Amino acid sequence: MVNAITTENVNVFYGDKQAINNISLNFLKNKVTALIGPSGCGKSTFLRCLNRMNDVIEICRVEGKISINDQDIYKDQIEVEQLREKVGMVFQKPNPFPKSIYDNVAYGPRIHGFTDKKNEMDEIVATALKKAGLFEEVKDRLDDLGTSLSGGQQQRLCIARAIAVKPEVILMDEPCSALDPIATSIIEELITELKESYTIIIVTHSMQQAARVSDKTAFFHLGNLIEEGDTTKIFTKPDNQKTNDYITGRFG
Amino acid sequence: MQHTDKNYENQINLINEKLVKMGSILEQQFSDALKVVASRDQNLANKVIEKDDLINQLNHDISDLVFQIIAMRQPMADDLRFLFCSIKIIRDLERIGDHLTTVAKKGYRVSTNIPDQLIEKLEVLGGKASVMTHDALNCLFERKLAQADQIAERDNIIDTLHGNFIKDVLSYMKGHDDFIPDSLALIQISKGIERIGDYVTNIMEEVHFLIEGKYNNS
Repeated sequence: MVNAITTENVNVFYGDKQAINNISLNFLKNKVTALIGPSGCGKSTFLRCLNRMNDVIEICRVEGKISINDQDIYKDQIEVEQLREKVGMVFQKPNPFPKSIYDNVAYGPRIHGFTDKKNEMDEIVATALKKAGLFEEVKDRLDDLGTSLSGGQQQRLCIARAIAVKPEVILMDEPCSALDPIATSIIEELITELKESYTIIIVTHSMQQAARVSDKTAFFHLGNLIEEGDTTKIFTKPDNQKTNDYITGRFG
Repeated sequence: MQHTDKNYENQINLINEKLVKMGSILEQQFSDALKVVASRDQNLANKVIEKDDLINQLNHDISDLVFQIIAMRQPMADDLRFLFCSIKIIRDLERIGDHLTTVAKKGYRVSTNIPDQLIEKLEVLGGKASVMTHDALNCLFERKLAQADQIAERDNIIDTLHGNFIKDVLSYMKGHDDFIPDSLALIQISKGIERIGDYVTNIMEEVHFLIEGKYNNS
């Protein structure tokens, strides 16, 4: 088992307030890891550390070591753009650019200078849309606005946009919370397909979703990592009483 | 800690209460059925037989409740293990009830001319199985792992006593042709008690799973 991302003694502060307490957690390559926990437990903050999304928050300070392929993403001379080429992200609310479906997907490959040939870009866009399970639905209207799609389609467009730059890791922050059950099922099936090619880390409030899609689950509480392990174990016989209480609906 | 949703907490508690009820009825049935064997009291036998309906009803009630919770709540972790085990345990309890009914039905018809030693041996066997059942029911509610495994082990004693009793009855039958129907009834009673030992062992295996999340030796 190879780790896609390793983290060691990560502490995160918002000003004086500590949001993450000394967390060390590794993410296996080509596996889906779910981060679960109540609101304010630090799971999204931790997720956002993995591609330095917290850099834009002025009062936010990240300590510890986060490495991708043994490269410390905070210390080494790594450009944020380079990092995010490797670590893509999909958000809670589908947020396509106010551009065509085609341009949404082509945006990343263009700014990273993948190609300037039209036919090659067409290929990149089609491949990403196919991988995101959206191509058949949009192939005849690639010039339509991305925002004209349904919520579930928009979310798959965002996934296509993320994978167009060939990342190694995809971070998903509650990717289905704005979607109906059918669109959710399509995304969940997609997640299972995508892990063949990518490492996926998903934050979710839906315990059932974590149980359905993930191989590994990590439970966060008050900025601490309480327990992590195989998803089947976490949801049937967790070691920690706090984990048990949370996933069975016994909140303090 | 209690479930944040009180309705959920109440539903789980209701299942637990019904399990306790089932267990306490069975213990009473067991004690009465053994008295029937000793006294051939037909009224008491009827009491045991009538209570079987209650056991069957509780079996269905619990089964319905578990089914509803699974559909409506998607239980996880210790709740899931409890519900999963409950659904299996109630089947075993229901079977124990059936065997106690057999003990009572056969028990009051046994001729009083059967030698006391045979009846006494049956009482010893019944007594061991009855205590085993009592301890198992306590263990189900107290959830102590070492106890569950230890109680399951006791099935060997029940099996041995049953085996010995069958030998005794067979040798008695050889010289007493007139008592063949009674001897067969005694064998059926002994077999019923032996089966109860098996069901109690199953229940202890479920309690092991309930506590550990996996079966003993699995």
